[in-house]
Amino acid sequence: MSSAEAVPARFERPSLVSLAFSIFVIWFILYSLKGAGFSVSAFLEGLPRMGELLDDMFPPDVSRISSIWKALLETFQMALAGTVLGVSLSLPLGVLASRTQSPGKITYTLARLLVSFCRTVPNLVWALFFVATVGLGTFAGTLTIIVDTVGFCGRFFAEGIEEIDRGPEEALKAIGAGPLAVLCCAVFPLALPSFVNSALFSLEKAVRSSVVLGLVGAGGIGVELKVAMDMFRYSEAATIILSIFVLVIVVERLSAAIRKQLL
Amino acid sequence: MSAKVALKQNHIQQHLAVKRADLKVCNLKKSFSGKEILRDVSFKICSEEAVSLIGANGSGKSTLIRCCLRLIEPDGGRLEFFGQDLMLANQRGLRKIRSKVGFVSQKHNLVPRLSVLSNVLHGALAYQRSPRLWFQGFAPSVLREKAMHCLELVGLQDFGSRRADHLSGGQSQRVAIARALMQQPEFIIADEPVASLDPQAGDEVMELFVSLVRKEKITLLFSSHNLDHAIKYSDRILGLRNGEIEIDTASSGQSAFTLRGFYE
Repeated sequence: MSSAEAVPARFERPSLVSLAFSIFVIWFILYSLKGAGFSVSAFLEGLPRMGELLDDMFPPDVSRISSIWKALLETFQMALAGTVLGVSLSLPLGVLASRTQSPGKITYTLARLLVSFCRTVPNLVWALFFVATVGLGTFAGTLTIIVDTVGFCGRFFAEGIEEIDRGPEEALKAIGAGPLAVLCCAVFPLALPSFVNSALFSLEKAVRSSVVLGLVGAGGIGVELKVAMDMFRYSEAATIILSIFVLVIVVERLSAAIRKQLL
Repeated sequence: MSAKVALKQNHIQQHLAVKRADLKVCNLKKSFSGKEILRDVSFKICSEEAVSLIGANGSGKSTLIRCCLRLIEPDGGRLEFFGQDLMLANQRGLRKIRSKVGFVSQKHNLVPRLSVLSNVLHGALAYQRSPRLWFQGFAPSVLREKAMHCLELVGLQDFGSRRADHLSGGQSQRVAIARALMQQPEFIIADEPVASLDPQAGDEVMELFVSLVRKEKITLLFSSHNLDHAIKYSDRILGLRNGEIEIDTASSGQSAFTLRGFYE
């Protein structure tokens, strides 16, 4: 055999099934763009109106800045409290939902199902549910963030636990340490970077989503934004949007600094 | 079998009959995906004896060692530690027996983010269930001092507050030995304890390890690819080939050259 014959082909010839599947996927993407009402002409027609709106927004109106900042603080408090409580609940749930630490298959499946349910139901649906059950205001928002955090952190905590080096865990099991001691002395310290990462991402996510939650009455700055937009007070809306931007940036920078310090 | 080896084995049998057997393994079996790794493995280790386990890669040494503590569940056979049947023990009973057996592995298996002192203190989890032991900051003073004493024994008394992942390989293994000593075990099982160290560090750590074990009168089973270590540091050598014990002989009088033939 010559050496040229031994060189594999640059590209493998696709099978008939994978070719048909690729064509179907491309067709479905194009079909989805049509179904989504995507229209370049409508976008171009809307551009002047976007310009007008931006013109109305600037300069931002800061006459109500104190109440806006109060609502902003409320939003952050909602996000922080919801994240802390959500992370606290996610920790035991993450253990039960991890293949390596769960005490049994039934517990594992139930924990995974609960985490998946919390994650797959959208935030706004949870917010509507809690507004309907506990009433308008920040408590409904906090409950929503707790559930959202459990869905997010529960999954990532479980995966973080599954990915750790199991050597230290084996070493402690080998000397007869109890299951709780093994968790606290080996599993949690090893999974800590993953926990911290997930919890901080969760906080950033909670700050962003708590703004939206206000739009359905779950408290915070979202309520202020909705009122400003409904009353055509676009310059006040601009102040609110800029304040939200500052809050999100500050939280992201802070969490990046904490991450750098701890990991 | 030569007359010399037969004489030695006879001597070993007499020795086993007199001393208490700390570990008895009878007809131990283990398969993975239909492949037999251990086939009817049987041996005894007496109190205060040091036994080395040799064998080529894939011969089943690590599996045997883990099966002895039921870190891997054997498929069959009997295991007795200190006269107690390990195979019949429930989780609580298993923990009780394990608490008397130290385990040192090739990878050291320290918790990297925690301090050296915390890692050593974890050895006391074998006999103290208190959550205060989870972090050195909360541990009782008596145990903190004891952990520092164990670190002193391995020459790392100045490393207590250092993070475990900031240590060299030799230092990590010394900390793992200190953790095993903290446990106050009656028996130590070591799976290739110096395999990840360079020859000089390996010799130093092995010398320290075995001298401490001898001083504390702890029974020892260790696996090694280093035949000189097997001869120098053990009273008896077990040779595992294809999942079976093929050699069970006193180490005195053996040479690395003759034992090397076992790997062919």
